[in-house]
Amino acid sequence: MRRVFGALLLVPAVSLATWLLVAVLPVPVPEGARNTAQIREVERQYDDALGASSWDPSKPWRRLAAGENLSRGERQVRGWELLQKLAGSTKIGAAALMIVIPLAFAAAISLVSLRQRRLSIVGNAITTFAFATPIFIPAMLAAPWVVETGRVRETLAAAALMALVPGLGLGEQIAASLAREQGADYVRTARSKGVPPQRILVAHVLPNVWPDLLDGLRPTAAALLAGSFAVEHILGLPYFGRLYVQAVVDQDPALVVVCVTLFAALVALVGLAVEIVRPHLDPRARRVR
Amino acid sequence: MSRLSIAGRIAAVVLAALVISSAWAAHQADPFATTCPFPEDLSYDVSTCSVALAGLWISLVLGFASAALAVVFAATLAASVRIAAGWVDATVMRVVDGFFSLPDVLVILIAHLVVVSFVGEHAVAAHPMAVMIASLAIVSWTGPARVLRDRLETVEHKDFVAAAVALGATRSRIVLVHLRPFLTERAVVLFFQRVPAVILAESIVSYIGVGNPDLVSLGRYLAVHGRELAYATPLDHVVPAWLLLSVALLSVRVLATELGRGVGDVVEGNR
Repeated sequence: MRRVFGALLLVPAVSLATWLLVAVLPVPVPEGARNTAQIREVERQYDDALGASSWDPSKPWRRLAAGENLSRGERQVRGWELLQKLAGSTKIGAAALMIVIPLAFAAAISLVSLRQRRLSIVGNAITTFAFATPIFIPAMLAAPWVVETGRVRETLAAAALMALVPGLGLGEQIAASLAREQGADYVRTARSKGVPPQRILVAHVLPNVWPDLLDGLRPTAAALLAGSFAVEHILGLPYFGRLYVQAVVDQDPALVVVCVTLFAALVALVGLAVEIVRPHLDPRARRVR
Repeated sequence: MSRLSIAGRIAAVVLAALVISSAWAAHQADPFATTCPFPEDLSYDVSTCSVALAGLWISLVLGFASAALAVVFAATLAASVRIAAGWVDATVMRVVDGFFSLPDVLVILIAHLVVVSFVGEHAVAAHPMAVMIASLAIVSWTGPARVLRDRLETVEHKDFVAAAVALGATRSRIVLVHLRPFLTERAVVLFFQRVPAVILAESIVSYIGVGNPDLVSLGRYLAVHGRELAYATPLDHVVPAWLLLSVALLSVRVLATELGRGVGDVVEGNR
């Protein structure tokens, strides 16, 4: 329960910290604003967006709830548009996470199998290249083909391309525990009783590997989030990652606070889901509780 | 530290060769013009090898400088909180954990916004490298701080620390004199472990267009050529740059692993 509270506490803490950080920043004055009146107007807009002078961290959220435009510039970013963009990014992220889990298992099983056949150099080559490959490279290479297809396939392709590198990385992490479990006494006993290898893997070994997979899911979700910024940029998907990057580039204070908090909420949600699922998959976690 | 294995030596040689050739490419006018096997880079009007290696030089400088800054800060913080101990240690570490749970790229963008807001657009244009190093360092200290602080807490239970306490040594003397070797050895390993992570994070940030466009790191280089892929083949520019980045990062990773093993040997064997 302590870990669940810790995961949930992250969201208001990040929101407040981001607001404080943005509130103490000097107001960015555009190059065009030369006289005092124009500079004062920019400062007023900035303060109005953030609630800095009244020390009101809830101001961006109240504006969001009231359906006001959160952007300082000519862009219109209201609550509904924001939710639509967030839903788009979440859809891609959730699909990517669904792809990552089977991909990680497949990669781990393949790696262990290659190592058992003394072909570990092939497995090591694949995983080391996955480690040293920026997450956007698969998307960049596939983009010319993906962009020519329709919107639905673009979203699915984004999820698959985002999942590729983190999936292989997670697979490398759980390969060690898979190899350890396959050498355990209970596996040898099951083999000697004539249990088929597939059944040993699915019924005996994988349940013991789940906890290691759960440990790796939260960092993987963070990696997918980082990947979403680049993949949405490459495939031209007008979702939340692009909105956040644009908010930072345009120095939009209210949008930055809202976007960072919602991103932290997504990471916290993944952490929360992991903590809720953990006792069901790992009896040792039940005992500790 | 124990001597490097063959893999470690190969990694060190490859990394040294990449550092020297990339520094040469960055400071000379197209030194690979006649020897580069890839087509000329029309975006920069120099050979692909020269511009990719120059990009690697910038990525390496950003990675090494940011990781060094971050690890020095993390070591200082870890030592400070172990000297203070108690609620100071607990509070600071909760903040560190909060920072650590956020994705690197998310925080780099905020850090960049903060640095740009304080120093101004003109300073960013004048010193793009320094601004990016500061932004990356702000993100990279949390993981090393947590590891170093936990390392100090672990070794505080050793017999020689109990002996020092019995002889009347203060907490600051124990941490700064008796435990410093444990801190510095682990910090060197963490430094090499952070370098690839920082370079990868920087490549994403540069790819999405944050920072000064004149700072052509490998991420920025890939972004420029990624847009050409609709009518150019990836083998012309993208794959060479990707391979270059991969080889550099792998060399650093192997070195980190070897040094980590060496530190383990030293700590277990001699102390």
